[in-house]
Amino acid sequence: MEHLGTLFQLALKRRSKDFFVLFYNMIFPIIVIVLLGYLTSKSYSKDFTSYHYYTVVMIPFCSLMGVTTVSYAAQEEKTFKTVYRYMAAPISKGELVVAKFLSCVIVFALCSIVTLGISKLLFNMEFNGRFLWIVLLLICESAAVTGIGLFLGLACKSLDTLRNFLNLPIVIFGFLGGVFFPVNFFQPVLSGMIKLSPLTWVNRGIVSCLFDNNVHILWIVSAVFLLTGCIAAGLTVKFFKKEVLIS
Amino acid sequence: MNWFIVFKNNFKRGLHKKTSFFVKLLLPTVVVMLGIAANYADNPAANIGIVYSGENVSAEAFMQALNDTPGIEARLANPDMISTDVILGKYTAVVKFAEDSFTLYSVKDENTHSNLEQLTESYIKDQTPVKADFLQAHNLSTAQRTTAFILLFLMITATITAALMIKDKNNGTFIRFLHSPQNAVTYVLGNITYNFAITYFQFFVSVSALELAGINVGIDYLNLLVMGIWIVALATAFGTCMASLFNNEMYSNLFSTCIVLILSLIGGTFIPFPKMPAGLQYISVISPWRWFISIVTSMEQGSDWFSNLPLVLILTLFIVAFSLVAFVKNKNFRSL
Repeated sequence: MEHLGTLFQLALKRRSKDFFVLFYNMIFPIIVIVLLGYLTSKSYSKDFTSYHYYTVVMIPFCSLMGVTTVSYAAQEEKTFKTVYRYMAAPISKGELVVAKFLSCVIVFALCSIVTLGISKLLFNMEFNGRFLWIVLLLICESAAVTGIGLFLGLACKSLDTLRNFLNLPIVIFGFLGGVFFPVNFFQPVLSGMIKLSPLTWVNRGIVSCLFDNNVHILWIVSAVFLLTGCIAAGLTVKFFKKEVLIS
Repeated sequence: MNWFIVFKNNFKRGLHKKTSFFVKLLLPTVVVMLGIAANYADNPAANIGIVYSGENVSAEAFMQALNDTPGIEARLANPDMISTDVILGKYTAVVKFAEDSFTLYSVKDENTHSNLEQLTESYIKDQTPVKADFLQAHNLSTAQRTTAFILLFLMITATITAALMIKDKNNGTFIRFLHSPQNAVTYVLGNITYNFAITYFQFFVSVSALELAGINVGIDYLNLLVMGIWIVALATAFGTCMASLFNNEMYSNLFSTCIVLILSLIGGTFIPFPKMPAGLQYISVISPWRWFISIVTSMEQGSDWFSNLPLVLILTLFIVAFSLVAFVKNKNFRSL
């Protein structure tokens, strides 16, 4: 692991300078929160406004959308035409994957946290002293998003086609999880599907932590995310072959 | 007819990797079907959660009265998750009964909240069912929601299909094509028609399967197929435009998702156009969703697709505009 530090620094520099990542994870959620909040402002009370609702649900949704970004970023050596240098360099695939994993988790989590902070200031959102709990959840979600993204980008060459379509199920998860409007849990057709959406549980975790003083769901969701991220990263190290980057 | 060579070759190239081609072809079909099925569910009734401990006669009578009220369903709520359930929409409101008083929890606007309080007070005294129209959500109809969602999904998938153009530019195929000698317009036209054929097939299979399954979205099948031509043409032109603007597949896919979500928001996919704030009603003219939803509203009242010619013309202008951007952008590629 002697080259991990260098690889990590390089990956971190690339990620943090990527305007697109910053736009997609910070500017886009704020635009949508403002837009949806404004659209539905008349339907909400003064204490809990539509802006508060969309802050809670939109940031985890945009973080989840990061799966696609990571799956493409995983193969950025192709774009930068540096694949053969990576092939020839005496670096292990473990170092390569871990460097990508850590850099993406840090940058994605930071983007979500900054967006949360901006929303808190913009919309006077009260976190009841539990801001750090939400930060913890967002970090764990970033880990899961990065792990899955890297797995799809590096370990599943046969699923290359699939990663183009990742946004579609994520948008459907968003609808079912109440990202665009609150959903009725008792609809017979949808109730089962709603429970399958990870965003349903993320949103329940955040809201119950902030407004019901109940951190139980948030803990479980965070633990599941962290575990998923670690398992996916482990599987990526196991199944990734550097030659994949050439084709 | 040179565009036909591009059209034909794109199919040949696609079929070279059969599994990938059929996944690309059928996956969006399944997603569109799921989207339609999800929107098929009727508008939700208002759900009121009730919390009380032990035996509480007035709470039980109140719950019964709510269940007898058209458009309202009452259920026992979890006392530890009241705020969560109210905020996330599981319940429109929760009424928590103490021995001789009650507390109403909701995040609704002041008017609805005070109406709910009045309803609770009146039902505690007298359980004769009354009308509670203020709780009925005036949302989009099934046909409007379905159309909006089909357009949203197909615009994303058409961009993915159009990504073939980005690959062509990156691996030099496009430059070779221009030297063959052909022009950029032929190339774009061939790609648009290929994308149109693929996307219309996905649309056709999705709506036909749902028609066969007896799911009626509220629009006559033939009208739906005609409307599909404009939906798919718009999705295709948009996808081609996105693929022409970006030289990177990821940027094209993700930016298109952002743009599609924002346009659908301001076009009235989630909040009906008449309920939007005045400022956004003006801005919504730039969203094709607004015009599709207007036509569907008219079709629900019995007219057919071509009865709304001015609106159809506006949508055609969107298609032409997106296509023109694609043509110009690709034409300028030669000078790079």
